[in-house]
Amino acid sequence: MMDRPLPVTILLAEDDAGHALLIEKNLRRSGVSNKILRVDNGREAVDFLFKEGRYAGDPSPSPFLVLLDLNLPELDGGQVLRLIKGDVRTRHIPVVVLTTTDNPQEVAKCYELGCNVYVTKPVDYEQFSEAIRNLGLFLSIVKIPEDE
Amino acid sequence: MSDDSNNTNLIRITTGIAATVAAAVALIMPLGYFAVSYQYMVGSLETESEVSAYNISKVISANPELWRYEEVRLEELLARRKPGSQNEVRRILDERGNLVAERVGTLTPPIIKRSYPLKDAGADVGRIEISRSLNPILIRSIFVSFLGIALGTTVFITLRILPRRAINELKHAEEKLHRYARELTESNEDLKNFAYIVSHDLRAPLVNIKGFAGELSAGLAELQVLKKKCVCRYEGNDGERADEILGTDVPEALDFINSSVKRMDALINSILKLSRLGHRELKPEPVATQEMVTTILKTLTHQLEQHGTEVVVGALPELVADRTTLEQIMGNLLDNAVKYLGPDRSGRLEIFAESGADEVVFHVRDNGCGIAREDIHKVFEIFRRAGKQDVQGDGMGLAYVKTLIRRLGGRIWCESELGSGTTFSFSIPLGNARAHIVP
Ligand SMILES: Nc1ncnc2c1ncn2[C@@H]1O[C@H](COP(=O)(O)OP(=O)(O)OP(=O)(O)O)[C@@H](O)[C@H]1O
Ligand SMILES: [Mg+2]
Repeated sequence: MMDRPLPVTILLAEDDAGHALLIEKNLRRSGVSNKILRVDNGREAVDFLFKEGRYAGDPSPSPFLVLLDLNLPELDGGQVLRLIKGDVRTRHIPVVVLTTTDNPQEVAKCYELGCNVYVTKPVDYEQFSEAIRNLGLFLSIVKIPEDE
Repeated sequence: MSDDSNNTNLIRITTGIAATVAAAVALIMPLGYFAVSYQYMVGSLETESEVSAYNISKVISANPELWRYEEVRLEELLARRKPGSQNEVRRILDERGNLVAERVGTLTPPIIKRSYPLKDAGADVGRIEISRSLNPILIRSIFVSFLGIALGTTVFITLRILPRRAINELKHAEEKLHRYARELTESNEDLKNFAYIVSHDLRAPLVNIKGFAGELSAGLAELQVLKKKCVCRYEGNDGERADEILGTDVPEALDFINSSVKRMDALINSILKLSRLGHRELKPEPVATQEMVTTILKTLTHQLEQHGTEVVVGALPELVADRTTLEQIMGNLLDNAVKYLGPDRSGRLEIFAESGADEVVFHVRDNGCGIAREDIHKVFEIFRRAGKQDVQGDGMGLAYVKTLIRRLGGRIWCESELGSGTTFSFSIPLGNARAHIVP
């Protein structure tokens, strides 16, 4: 089951190239073999999701899942989350917030905005890779929501 | 807004007062001058006529039949007068009112006249009449009234300007205060946000350092496995060197990286915790501080016994305050007191309190290693430690304590003698929403 590739794309919105690479490596280790598309700012993430800007008229399918960092340039993660969850076209897309902050207020705010899972990036790498692998497991057992 | 209307009111009232005072000055000065001068002139006329009458009476009694024909002598008498009273007319009239003698002068009206009877052996034989013009007095009164108006105007202006100035000064002072308060709140906010941002933004690169160090370790482990499986291309010294690099040098470097990152992470977490302490909501509830201290001491039993410590807990009050905050304050101070007792003598710990009208002051006294005078202010700063670093610590405890006490509105201070002991004291203000004594 774990090696069955899901036919959908994961959108990784992460401005830190290092973090992005580490996340990708660990997702791969956990058996996630989907296409992972990375954008490094909030504006581009929104453009991709709503097929605007440089993604206008792009035939690529809606991603299965968004992995979202909170600390993004142009539009921050909170704003991106608000836009995703405030639009009928994208409301169904699961959003995993993956960020360095474990500030309870920040976490609460994200859940309020409709984030599905909140994962803190621990500085400890063991914990970090474990968190990402768990996330990978979670991704492989979760049901793919139907695109409407 | 209501301040402003208060001020305009005040200005209106002071303007009213200023106007009244100024008008009074401008009116009373000439009127008063006139009244006094008039009074004086009447008085002097009366005395003059009396004195003249006396002198003339002498002429009359010397010559009772014919005095009225001695015009020359009489006129001479009339001409004798005090200097300065030239502008007057003096007349001597007989009992029927006929003019006997006269000393003329030019008088401009209005004129004031006074007369005095002339007597001879008790019988009226005529009268002396002196007239003067009121003109000079009037002129001077007008002059005085100008002075009065000038003075009144000055008074008015002064009375109007002074309160305005005072109010303006007050306003400025108030604005300054407001600005300071605003700046303070802003910089407070900045500080809180700063701590948050620092800890957040510093963590991101740490994740990378730690992460790629982890990747390196994993790669290294894999390499070792591969090396065992395949034939090594290096030989002799090169091979040993390669083994050394892969087996010792690189893992050693990775260990340093890992432990430094761990330390850095701990420091960042401390800053974060400190910044969160400033945000945490306080829930005031009744707290028996005596019990609280006893409970904390119980958790320190082992260390206390190690030092053979004698503990004296005085009567401590029951407060209404945030329990966790008090617990953390007391916990850290007691922990330090025990931790820094020093090995060479049996310990003694005193905890006591003084309740004043508006605050309670707690003291935690030990006979431990003490803090050097120049280090006392340092120990309250984050990450700062003092003296010999022979016991483990992060230098966070007192920074937390200081923040917590400040949140309760109190302050903390320390008296210490190097080598003989330390007393930490802190005050908790009472009678507000944050803390008060349970009656
Ligand atoms: N009762 C005391 N007697 C002597 N020195 C003290 C005492 N309390 C504190 N100090 C000095 O002040 C320094 C700062 O204390 P603080 O509680 O902030 O940090 P710490 O005890 O070193 O570490 P932490 O409490 O974070 O574990 C200590 O390192 C110590 O040198
Ligand atoms: Mg301490």
